[in-house]
Amino acid sequence: MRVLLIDDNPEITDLFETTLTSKGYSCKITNNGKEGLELIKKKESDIVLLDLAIPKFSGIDIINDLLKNGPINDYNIYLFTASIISDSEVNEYIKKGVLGCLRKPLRLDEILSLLEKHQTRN
Amino acid sequence: MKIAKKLIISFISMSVLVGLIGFLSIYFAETSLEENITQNSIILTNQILEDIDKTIYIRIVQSQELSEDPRIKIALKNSNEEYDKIKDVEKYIEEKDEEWKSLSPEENNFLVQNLIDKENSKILLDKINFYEREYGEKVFAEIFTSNKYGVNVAQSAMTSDFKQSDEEWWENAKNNGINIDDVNFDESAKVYSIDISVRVEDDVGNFLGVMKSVVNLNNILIDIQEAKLDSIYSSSKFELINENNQIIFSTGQDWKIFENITSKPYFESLIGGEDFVIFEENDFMEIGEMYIFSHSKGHKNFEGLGWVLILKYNTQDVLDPVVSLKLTILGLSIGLGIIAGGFGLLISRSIAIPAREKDNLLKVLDEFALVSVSDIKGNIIHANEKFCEVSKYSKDELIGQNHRVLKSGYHNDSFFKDLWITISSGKIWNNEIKNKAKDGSFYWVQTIIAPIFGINNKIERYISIRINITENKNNEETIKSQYKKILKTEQQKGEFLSMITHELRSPLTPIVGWCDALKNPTILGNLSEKQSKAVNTILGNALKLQRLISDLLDAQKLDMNKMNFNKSEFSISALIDRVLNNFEYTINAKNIVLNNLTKDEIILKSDDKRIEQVLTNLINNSIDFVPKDTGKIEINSKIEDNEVVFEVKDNGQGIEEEKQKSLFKKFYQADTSLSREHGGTGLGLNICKGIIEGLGGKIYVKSVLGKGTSFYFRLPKNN
Repeated sequence: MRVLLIDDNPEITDLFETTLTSKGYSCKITNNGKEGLELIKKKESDIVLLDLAIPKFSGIDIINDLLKNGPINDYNIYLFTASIISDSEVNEYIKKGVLGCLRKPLRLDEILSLLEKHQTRN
Repeated sequence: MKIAKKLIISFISMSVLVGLIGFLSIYFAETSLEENITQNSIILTNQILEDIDKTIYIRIVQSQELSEDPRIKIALKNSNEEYDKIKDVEKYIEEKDEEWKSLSPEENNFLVQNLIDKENSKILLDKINFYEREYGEKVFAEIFTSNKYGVNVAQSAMTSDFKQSDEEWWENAKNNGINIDDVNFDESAKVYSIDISVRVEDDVGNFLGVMKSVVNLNNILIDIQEAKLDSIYSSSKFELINENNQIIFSTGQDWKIFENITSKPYFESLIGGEDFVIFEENDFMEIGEMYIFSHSKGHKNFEGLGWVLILKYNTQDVLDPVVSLKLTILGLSIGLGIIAGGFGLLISRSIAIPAREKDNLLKVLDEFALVSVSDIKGNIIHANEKFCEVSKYSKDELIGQNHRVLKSGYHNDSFFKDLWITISSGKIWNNEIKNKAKDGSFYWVQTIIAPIFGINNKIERYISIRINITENKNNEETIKSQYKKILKTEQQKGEFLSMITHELRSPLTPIVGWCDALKNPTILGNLSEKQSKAVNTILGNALKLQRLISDLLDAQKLDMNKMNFNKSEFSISALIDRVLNNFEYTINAKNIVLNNLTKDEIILKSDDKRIEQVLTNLINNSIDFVPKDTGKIEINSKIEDNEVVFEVKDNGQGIEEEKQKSLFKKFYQADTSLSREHGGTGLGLNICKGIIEGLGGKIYVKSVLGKGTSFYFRLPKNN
């Protein structure tokens, strides 16, 4: 299963890369919003973990851009954020086609069980 | 009170006036009554006296006529001639008189009877009888005739004297032609009489002798008695006074014949001989005596006897109508006065009480409010002291000025336009106005402007009542600006917290993540026991920090009332299972029991994440306080009174009752030593309370010291 992680913090991207690779997942990482958008659009990943707070071109910008071309459910995007984001805001994104939200700091088990769940579903 | 006084005074003066008029009319009535009585009384007494004089006059005339009788004259002439012959006639008469006097009554009677029986005496007796027939009563009691030597020649009744010439009356009659003696009163016979003695002379005027007639006065005095009886006044009393100031007759019972009156109080008034009236006493009730004096005036050439007739009245009796009129009017005016006074009092009270209330009201109003009255154009025509004090204008400066002078420029035109539209349409305008004082300072007034209507319901004036609220307003301004500052600070604080949260969380992510990775041998390989312990310590503290951050954030949200709840239907047992799962590691480590006693399958519509947070918090607390190895925590939930009741029960040390009340306060910790040990923030229960109350429920604690504690929270079943 291919995981796309869009996050500007290398300490986090390293952690995920190490963990996910050790668990046998293929992991694509970018710390650039624009690049991330292009990668999502290519639909080469089975699941996208999108950090909202990326400088210059944020996760929000990415979603808004994607929304221009219709529904985004197919992209399998999970929000991944340390910001204060209310449940109702999360619900708004879910309505738009985002699958869920992972709040930082998160335990590795959480991400691993999510990926497992996703894999079995597909 | 002024009106009341005025009214009472006017009412009382009215009644006094009525009384005055009453008494004035009484005075005139009294005066005219007195005049009437006086005049009538004088007429009456004069009439009586005139009658007396007339009668005496007639008797005198009759006596004189009798003395002209030729038979009497012849008898006297003969007797005189007889005595002329006697030598030393004077001596003879003296001796004869002595002889008569020395005789026994019987012998004397004999001699006298002899004389009466003589022819001459018969003439006199006939005359007496004639008049008695004429008048129907005896008008002449006796008649005696004596010759020029004073020796009785004829007599109608007996007399003890032989010689009369030594008597004064005899001499007077001889020299003056007539003598009228004073009144005599025969006590035993109750007969009044006067003696009329006349000189008898022959045709050429030679003195022949004296004839004395005893005139009966009873028939005269009876007139007085009748006049008394005829009088309408029971108190009337007549007294007849002779020349010597003696009472010779009275209709009263308490008098003595010939009693001297010189000591009487009215005596002085007698001198002078005028007819007059005196009132001895005259008080309000007219108790006293009234005297009418009438002096005899004689008849024809008879000058009268100088008698005075006094008529006495009790003034009370005579003036009784006036007295009763006085009493009536007095009673009437007193009654009227009382009624008027009472009426005045009543009216004045009914006027005065509202007036006084109004006065008091105005006084209070003047004390606290700025009061002004203006004409319809807003020109001030009245301003009270308070208004002057606050506006710093004098009364003279304000009156005549337009209210515009107070404008501060703070309010816009539409503000005043609204004011004028409101009051000119007859409504009351009420608002706060910022005004400018004379010295340029500003003041705030809560203002009420009300129109005053005149006739035809037209607005004539506006009354403004203003309360000085400058101080309040200033305080309000201060509070407002402070509140603004606080709000801004709060917002900054909120923003700061959000930023801090983000900034704190971000570094926590790799810390926690890398710890997890280190702990997982499949990721980074196996760690030594020491390394593993170190990682666990790092992870434990990182998680504690994470919890602290989210607690702070929740507390902040609750403070700002910004906590959002997402309600959805969920299964309570599933929720509890999920929560308990998270504690598996902890309870195993502490070797304690954590049980779920929930029996029913309950579906609740609420915010499951938040309830999970509350339950987690309560269980965390319990774990901290239950003893190692023997600790026991029970979770239960059930439906009670249409509410879902959650219970987290432990067998910990319990909480003192005093501390229970403060448990839910922010930053409160039941045991500070424990908090240091367990790393609490003192926010947990406060957040629980905020969440449960935010979800429409309530949270409370029951605890027995030494036995354990139960936390409950109840949420509405149907939300």
